[in-house]
Amino acid sequence: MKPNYRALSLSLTAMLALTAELRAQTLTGRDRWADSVRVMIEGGVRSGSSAAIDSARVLLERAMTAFPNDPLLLHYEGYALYRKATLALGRTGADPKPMLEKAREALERSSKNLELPETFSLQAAVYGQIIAASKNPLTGMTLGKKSSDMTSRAVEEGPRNPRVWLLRGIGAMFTPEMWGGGLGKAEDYLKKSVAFYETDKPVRPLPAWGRAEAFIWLGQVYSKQGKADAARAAFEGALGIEPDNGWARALLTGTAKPVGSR
Amino acid sequence: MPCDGNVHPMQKGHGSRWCGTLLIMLALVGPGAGAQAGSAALRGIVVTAEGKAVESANVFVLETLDGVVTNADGRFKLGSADSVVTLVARRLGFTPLTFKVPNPRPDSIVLTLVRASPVLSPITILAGRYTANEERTATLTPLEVVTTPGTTANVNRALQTLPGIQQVDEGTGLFVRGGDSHETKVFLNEVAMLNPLDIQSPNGTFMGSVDPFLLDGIVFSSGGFGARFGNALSAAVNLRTQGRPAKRALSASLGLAGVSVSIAEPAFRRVGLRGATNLFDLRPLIAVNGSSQKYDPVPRGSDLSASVIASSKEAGELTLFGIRKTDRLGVAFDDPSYSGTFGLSSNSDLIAATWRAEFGSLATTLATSAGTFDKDELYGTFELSTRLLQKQAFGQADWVVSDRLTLRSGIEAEKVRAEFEGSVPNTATDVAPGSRIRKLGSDITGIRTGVFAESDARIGQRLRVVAGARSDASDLTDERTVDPRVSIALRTLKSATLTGAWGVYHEIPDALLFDPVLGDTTLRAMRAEHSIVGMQAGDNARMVRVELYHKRYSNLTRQTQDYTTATNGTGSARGVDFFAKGNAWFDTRARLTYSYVHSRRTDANSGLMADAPFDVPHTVTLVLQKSISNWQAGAAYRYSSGRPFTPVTGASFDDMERRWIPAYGAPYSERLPTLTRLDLSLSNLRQIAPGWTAILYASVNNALGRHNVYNYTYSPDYTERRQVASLFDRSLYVGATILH
Repeated sequence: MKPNYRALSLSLTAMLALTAELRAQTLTGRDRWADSVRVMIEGGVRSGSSAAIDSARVLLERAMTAFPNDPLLLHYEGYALYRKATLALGRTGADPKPMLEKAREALERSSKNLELPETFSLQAAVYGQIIAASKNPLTGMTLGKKSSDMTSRAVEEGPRNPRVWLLRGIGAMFTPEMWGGGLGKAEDYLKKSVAFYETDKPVRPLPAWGRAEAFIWLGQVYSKQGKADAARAAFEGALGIEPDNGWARALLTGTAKPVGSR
Repeated sequence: MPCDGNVHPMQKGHGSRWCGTLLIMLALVGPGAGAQAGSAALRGIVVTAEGKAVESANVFVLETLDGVVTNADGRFKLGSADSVVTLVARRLGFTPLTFKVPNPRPDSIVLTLVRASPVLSPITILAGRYTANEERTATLTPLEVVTTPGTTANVNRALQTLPGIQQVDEGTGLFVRGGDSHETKVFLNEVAMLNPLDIQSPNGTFMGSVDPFLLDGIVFSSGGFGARFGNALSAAVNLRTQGRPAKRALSASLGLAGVSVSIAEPAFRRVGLRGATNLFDLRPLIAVNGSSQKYDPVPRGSDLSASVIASSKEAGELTLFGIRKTDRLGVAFDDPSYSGTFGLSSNSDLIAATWRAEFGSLATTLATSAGTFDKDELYGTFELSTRLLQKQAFGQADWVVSDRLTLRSGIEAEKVRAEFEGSVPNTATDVAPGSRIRKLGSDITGIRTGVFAESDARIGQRLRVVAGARSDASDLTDERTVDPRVSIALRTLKSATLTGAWGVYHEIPDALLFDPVLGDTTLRAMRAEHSIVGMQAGDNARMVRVELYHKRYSNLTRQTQDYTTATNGTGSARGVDFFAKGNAWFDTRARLTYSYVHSRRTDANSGLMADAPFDVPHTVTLVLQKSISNWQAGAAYRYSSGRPFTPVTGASFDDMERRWIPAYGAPYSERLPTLTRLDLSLSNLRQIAPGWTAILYASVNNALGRHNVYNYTYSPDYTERRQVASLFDRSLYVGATILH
């Protein structure tokens, strides 16, 4: 029997919304909605569901009607779009550039009024993805510097913020050694990220994502370096945090290959 | 913007006026008598104005943000215990709808969404302003300055590849849309840079420039610019220096023409430092390539700049920027009356403090600066020392009233003291030592104050109108001028925009022209009126643009060849600029520029109307750039008509003065030959150590070895016309930069 993906997606979305709602109950006003959105995006990221991220954006749209131009909501708008664009990057025929441009705009607006380290890191990541999506090498030269500056700014604002180091590690993985990247750098940064997650206790509704992801990316770096055992341990570490993480499981079982592998 | 639906449904049919095209937004179905106030579920349907169901509309209660997404039939059902409920319906592509649910509640609510105009990005295009890149806030980025072949990393030479700028000579002067180079003003961090009677050498007009790597962005407007910029008759260049460095950076360059070093250091948590120095010396370049000219000394100079940038979210950004420049050159020149060396040395300093901050919807900018410029020129009996001292203050407030309206106003004051000392020959046709001269020794101080106000309004999604005015008063001209200006951009299709601008512009003549010996102390402000219409199709990455313009000049003041001052000149310039950019064959990025202009002015020497000295009808520039892996190659081809000159038709020998006196033909009735050149460049990036990158580059300027002629001079009896050629027929340049 053909599975009803639409029904499945709607159920998943409803579950995510309910979970987010329950977890956000102790917060009020803007914070309550920001936290709900945060939880919903995380659910979408864990399940790799673009539809779930869209649901988070539906809730964001409501919250931003009540709290227009709120910098934290703008941050989550940029974050949701970044995640959606990341999911689209791997798909044939998908054009993530409009989403990335919207994410860039939301994050730039957010950072004008709220200096969250994660916002600067996401800006750096979004610039990096715009470079990847653009055919113009001058875009790389111009936005590459901006991306690098934003990463430095993120580290300045959050020197022990694990998400800053996670995104820096991911960025280093896709940046040539010549420009300050490479697998060695990525490993260093991701190890820092994993270590900083041990003491990471963000207050809701601030960003709290990425702990399992740090292990997943570290595992992929190990895998590319040919360190199979270390990679396996890292993927298992991710599953220890999020037993339902499909990406970690797929990488562990070999049904998915590390990003960038042929 | 949500549209308030809190009015009686019957009134909707006549339109809630501010909702524009939102016609019938809702209808209540059923009497509602059966509904239990405050407890019944909210049910309904979302439809289009044509009655079609809207799927996936976001319907929610504004007070609680509880909501649902409509199903395929456009239906929704919501529970709400509140007695006062406001429903909001949103869907991409439709105008958001807000509806206050009446009490008692109806059985079913029909929410009618009206299609919004396609969601378009804000209109950033303005008449006269071009972008050469994909960045939204700058005309040129520093990287484009250094990667465009033939620019020798000079900001002005890079700007010369944009539409509307005529290649009049081999120099760096910006002759824009049939105007003289002094009509273009350069602003650095909001303060005007001193640009006193551009340095004239036998090969062209040179204007001061700034190291591109000190800059964050360059915005250029070739005309029709807003009320913010005063005392500029033709064009404005706005330079922004780099902000607080996020991390330490070092760079060092060594090339055939000089050496440079720069450093950036985030000194404290909120404070950063930047410093740079450049030394240039053409001796190695001339040793490799030779030169058609003899120098003593060979052109050389240096600049040293530093900035301190402090910024925080609460207090804004304060930038303190200082620069010192020195230049020296001596070039052999044959004049009919004298063969000797034209010597020039100049020193300039500028220190500027700029503070920018945002307080909610109010953005403020305050800037102050002090600058000096010293110049010594020597050629025969022409011996002039100029010293300028300039102080400026500028303040601007931008009030963002809404997403669609920004109001802007500001004030500025500028004090320029000019000291001239030396001598000039009675006539430029006799500069030999011993010729008759006039002595100069003046000290002129002028104060100019200006105020401006403008509004930047976006009307609907398709129309942007920037309208304003400025008023300036100068104690040199002893008059107040009023300049109204308006610029309009109308998006017609998805990516096509019509532009138009009209405005009045005034400029105070250079202080030297007020000198009691050479000039006229009763001069008035020069005036220009710009009218521009144009169209752009495409976005920043790939676009085609055409602009037509007409400028009318009056009160023009110009120095004659005998160093006197001609006043009350008039003139006009009309032309068309074409600009296209995008990807050409094999993913090569291409920029094509064509400018046509016909510029007429009162000839300062004869008083007759003639082609302007800088009337260059046709200018074509094609820039191609291609990257493969770590290599980048570029080519730039330039073509321009020769500029006009006044021919010498004969000469008679004056026994009293013991020299030949030339007889002139009709003013500017002949032209120099056309100019063409092809510049090629190649660069390679490579890592030399962890964190250290090297860029190796080589370029061949005027690769075809075209013998371009930039001027004519004559034999002592004027029977032989001699060409003043390019500094180099073909030149090779190599260099390397190390970055960390």
